[in-house]
Amino acid sequence: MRDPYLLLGIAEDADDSAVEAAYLAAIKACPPERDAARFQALRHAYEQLRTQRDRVAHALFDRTPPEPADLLDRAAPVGAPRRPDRALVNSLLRGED
Amino acid sequence: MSKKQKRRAASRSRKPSQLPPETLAEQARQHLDANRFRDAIADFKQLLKQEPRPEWRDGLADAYAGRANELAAKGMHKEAMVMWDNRAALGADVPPSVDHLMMLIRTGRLESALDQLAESSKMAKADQDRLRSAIAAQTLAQGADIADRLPAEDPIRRQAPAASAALDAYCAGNDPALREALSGIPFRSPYRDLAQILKALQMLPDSPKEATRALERVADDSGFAPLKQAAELALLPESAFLKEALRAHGNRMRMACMLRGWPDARIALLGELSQLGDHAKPDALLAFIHKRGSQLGEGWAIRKTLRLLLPNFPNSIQRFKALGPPGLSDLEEILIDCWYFEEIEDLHSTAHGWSGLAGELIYRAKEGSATQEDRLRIALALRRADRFSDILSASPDEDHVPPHVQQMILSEVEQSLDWDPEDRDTYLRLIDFYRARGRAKDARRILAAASERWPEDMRVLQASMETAIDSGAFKKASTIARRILEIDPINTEVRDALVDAHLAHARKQMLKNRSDLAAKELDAAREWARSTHASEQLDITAGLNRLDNDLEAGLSELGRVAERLGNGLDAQVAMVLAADAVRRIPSSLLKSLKLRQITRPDADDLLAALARLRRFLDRGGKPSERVKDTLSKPLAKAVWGQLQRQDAESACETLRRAGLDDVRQKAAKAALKQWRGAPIFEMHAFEAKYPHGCYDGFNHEVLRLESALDRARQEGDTRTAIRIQNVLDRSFGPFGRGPSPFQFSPDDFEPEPLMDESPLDPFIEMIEEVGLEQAMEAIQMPKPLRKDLRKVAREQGEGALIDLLDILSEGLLAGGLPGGPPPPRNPPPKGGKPKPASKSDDKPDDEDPPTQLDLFS
Repeated sequence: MRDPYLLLGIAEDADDSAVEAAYLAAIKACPPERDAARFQALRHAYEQLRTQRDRVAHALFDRTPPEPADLLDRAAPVGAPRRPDRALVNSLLRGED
Repeated sequence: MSKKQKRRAASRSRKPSQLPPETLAEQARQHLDANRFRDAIADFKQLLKQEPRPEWRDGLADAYAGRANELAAKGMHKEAMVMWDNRAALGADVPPSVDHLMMLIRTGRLESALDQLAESSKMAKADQDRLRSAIAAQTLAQGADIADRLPAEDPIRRQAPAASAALDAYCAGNDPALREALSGIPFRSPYRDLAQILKALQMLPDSPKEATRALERVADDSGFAPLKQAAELALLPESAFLKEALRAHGNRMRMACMLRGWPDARIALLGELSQLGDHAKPDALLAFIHKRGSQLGEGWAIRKTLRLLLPNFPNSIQRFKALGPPGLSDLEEILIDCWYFEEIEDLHSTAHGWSGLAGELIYRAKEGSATQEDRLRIALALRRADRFSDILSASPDEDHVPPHVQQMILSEVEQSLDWDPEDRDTYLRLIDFYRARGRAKDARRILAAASERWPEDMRVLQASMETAIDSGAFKKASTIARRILEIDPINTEVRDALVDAHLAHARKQMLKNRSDLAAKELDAAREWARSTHASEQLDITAGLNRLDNDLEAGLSELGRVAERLGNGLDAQVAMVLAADAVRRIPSSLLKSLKLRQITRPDADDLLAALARLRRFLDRGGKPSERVKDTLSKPLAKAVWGQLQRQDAESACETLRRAGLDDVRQKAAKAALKQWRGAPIFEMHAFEAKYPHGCYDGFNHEVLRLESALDRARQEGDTRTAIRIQNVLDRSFGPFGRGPSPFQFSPDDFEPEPLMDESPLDPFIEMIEEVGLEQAMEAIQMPKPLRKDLRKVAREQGEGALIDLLDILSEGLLAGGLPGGPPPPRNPPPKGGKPKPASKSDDKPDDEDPPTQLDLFS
């Protein structure tokens, strides 16, 4: 189970409206037909953080250990898509993998 | 010796075959067809030494090609190249293979590849295209080195500048230039696959479906396939991508990561994490977090560290300390203890753990000014043990903790409302808890606080109505129900709850002989009844109520309802359940309504009757023995084989819940005739026959049930398999299969007598079935008693005697009959006379005590 804050891309002091806005933006970007598993995860994350009571409960009671994806998201979040440089493409075409 | 060494040794020790050439050729062909290329190579080589036949040389060429591809697939490119070279050395007329040329390109032997390209006209068209696409890809990757060696008019050379410009434009993010460059690449170009891939990449990340479709047009063995594969990786769903990324490395994955927006730092971190394996151990992650604490954020790192300590707690604490971080705070230590107790499901320690944490938080809150978050934290800690272990479950049957623990939790949950008074669920949970245990005063106290905060909330209003019904405050309940229905006019639950409450109250009044008050209750209930079922219930109860004052009118009313219900089994079930609820003798009522003569119900009637019985059970009804006895016979007459499978399953389940095991057995056996060996029916047939288990472990029915268990498992019907297993477990008992080592088997123990059945009931029912004389004979009744009963029967009729015995029976159930038999339940109906047993009965004996009249004869 992913860290819901990282999944929704919000800070740990986010309030109700920030949580909702992040959730709506996330499901718009990833509707269920595109990635059903991620959609479910987003929904679950939202349910965990929806209200202040939910967020405090999550901090107190959630025992889920971090996943590699949490560590990656926390240390170096995903940014805008990039294009490879020509050298990388050439090495791929040369069969260097 | 390693496998490789063994293989080499085996290869060296291969001796020439002694087979005649034709047989050896046949064997070589068989090896080739079965992809045993090494054996095929050996055989064909031996044959060619004997005679250079063209077909044997072709066979050897095929065997070399097969082996080369086999080695290449294993990543043994150098070894594969040797095979290709061997193949090429067989003669100039051996047709060039595209795989060979691809291998030449891969290993950097472009000169040889280009030489063979000149001969490519001998290849199939598809192979030619594949080869040209591979050389085109190398032309782009290696630049002028290759292009200059191609003829000037060769499309690979001619279109290379446009393709290279397109690639540059894509990499630079210059889409207009990309479009322009792509327009310079014709459809039948060796760079066509590149054009498709670049178009697909342009669609990322907004149009993944279109991008996927574009990539599908590129063959997997195209020279540009590595680019296609990188794009396909980038298109994977998030979770699958990360899984793949942790496994795969290299340029393909690097390009995919870039396409997904991964910064270089993240890609580098991925490399580090992938070394921890697919399922990184908590200790490894702990070390990773400790090492990168500042990058991850110290607060976040410590929170996640706590969670990683849990799997091997408490030993993990030592390993954590060895890493050298600052120790855990008091609160963190208590928190991890609480999680640990939850993990090992230690209910008692869990309750005390959270209580301790709440105490610590309260102490700190009182020292300083508590924020809203502090207050919530306290409230949630106070509620946690209950929520985690469901200690304040609404059903008292599910109480699973000692009373003092329950009391402690209850007090903490109530206390939590001081810290977080806005949690409606907690109010409702407490109300349900108190209501289920009959603590109306406490329920009302919590309800008052909830109603003050949420006066118009539906759930709170509904709880208010239910609490009012519990206390018999029907008027108040009606007022609340009206408020609920104003907000939610189609709330059937509220209507049904009110109708049920009024009905229950009406029945109570009927038992107290207050038919006038009962009628009022029924009138009040009618105001709320909307469903057909509710109306039926009210009509039947009204008819039963009327019987006391006006027998004919009551019977007529009930007759009309029975007719409405089809005068069949469904009508019987409806009348029996309603009569029993007001302690009437169901069989007598059926007799009076002439409903006992129904022989075989059709499928619709049977299903309707079962649905009615199911509804009764769903609402918490429990059929009395009298009901079961009365319904057993008509139900047993039903043709159970006429039901569909789903209906038959549902019927068996209803009969199980109703305790009608004889009928269930019949229904299950009928179903087994249609669906031979069906595990669910095997279970019902067995369980109905042996409700307490069969202790003869070698009984053929036990063996049959075991076969049904196997079949259920094979069919993936886990639910039925579990149920059968439970039935079998009940049969084997604590000493396994076979008889108990003790003198008595559990079957020898009689079930506890049911509290709702008086010792007189079987006798009463016997009289109804076989008549007074035979009943007295059957129970060997003493002669003086027989004389007395005969006298009553002679004077009042057998029906009146039955009613008299019924009153005695009720008296016994109610705790004895002080001062002799009670007065009759009802006065004789106005104008009604008991049915005379003889002419002398026509004159009532005023000196005799009033006796119960047979209202149904």
